[in-house]
Amino acid sequence: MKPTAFDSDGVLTDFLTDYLDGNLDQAERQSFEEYLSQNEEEKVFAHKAMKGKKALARFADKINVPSVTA
Amino acid sequence: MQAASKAEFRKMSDEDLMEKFQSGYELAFNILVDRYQDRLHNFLYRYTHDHQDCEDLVQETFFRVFRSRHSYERIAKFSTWMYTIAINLAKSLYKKKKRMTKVTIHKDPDDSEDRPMKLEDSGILPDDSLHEKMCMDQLEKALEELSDDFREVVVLRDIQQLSYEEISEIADLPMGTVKSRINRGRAQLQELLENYVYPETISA
Repeated sequence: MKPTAFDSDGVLTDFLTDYLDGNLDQAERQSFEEYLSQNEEEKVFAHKAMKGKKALARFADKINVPSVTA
Repeated sequence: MQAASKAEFRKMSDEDLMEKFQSGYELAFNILVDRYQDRLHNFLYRYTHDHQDCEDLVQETFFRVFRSRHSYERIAKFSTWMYTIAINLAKSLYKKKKRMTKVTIHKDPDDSEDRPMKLEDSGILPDDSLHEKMCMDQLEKALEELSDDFREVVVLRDIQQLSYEEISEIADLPMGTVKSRINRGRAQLQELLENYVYPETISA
């Protein structure tokens, strides 16, 4: 997976985290989505992270956690 | 000799102590208990809000660490491994308590032996959907394929549902690194899942 601006910019990482957690207000979300619409690699990355998060959320209570359980 | 060893052991990292413990040095285990029992108690109190439950959980956690010492591999930080055991135990306790329904069957209020009973709720049905099982298998496989750095924080956040602050504390990483690794771990996980479904799209 290619590096994106999220790897080098802490503020963007905070934005993405809050975006994925649904913690941005409407104005913040709109400006972040506008940023994504103008930056293809970051948009693809954010969508993948969102889907990965949703996949995990769906099975969080059933999944067998690898290598860190006893 | 023993005193010198003890001093040396106390200077060791958690992971070195676990290795010593795996080689048969129980002193290493005792030092890990000393190092973590109070921190673990405080950590678990956030989940249980009950000091007695915390004490039981701390004891059970160390018992499991003791019993499962040979299943610990150095690829995971000792603290993450131990906290994960503790969190799983706390969650099991919570689920167990939630399943219990209090039913009052007092007939004689003067009878001290006549206490409320707790009955287990048997109305929980197992989910045996084949599709769901397949999705779960794929998800577990993808999680196993993630690098340790990403898997550790993704599991703590999205499965154990810990806060970023807690993960930062457990993994001993700055908050920014925690968030960045979680996001990248999620994205990589999704990429792996897509590759299972559409293997022809795998890029070199």
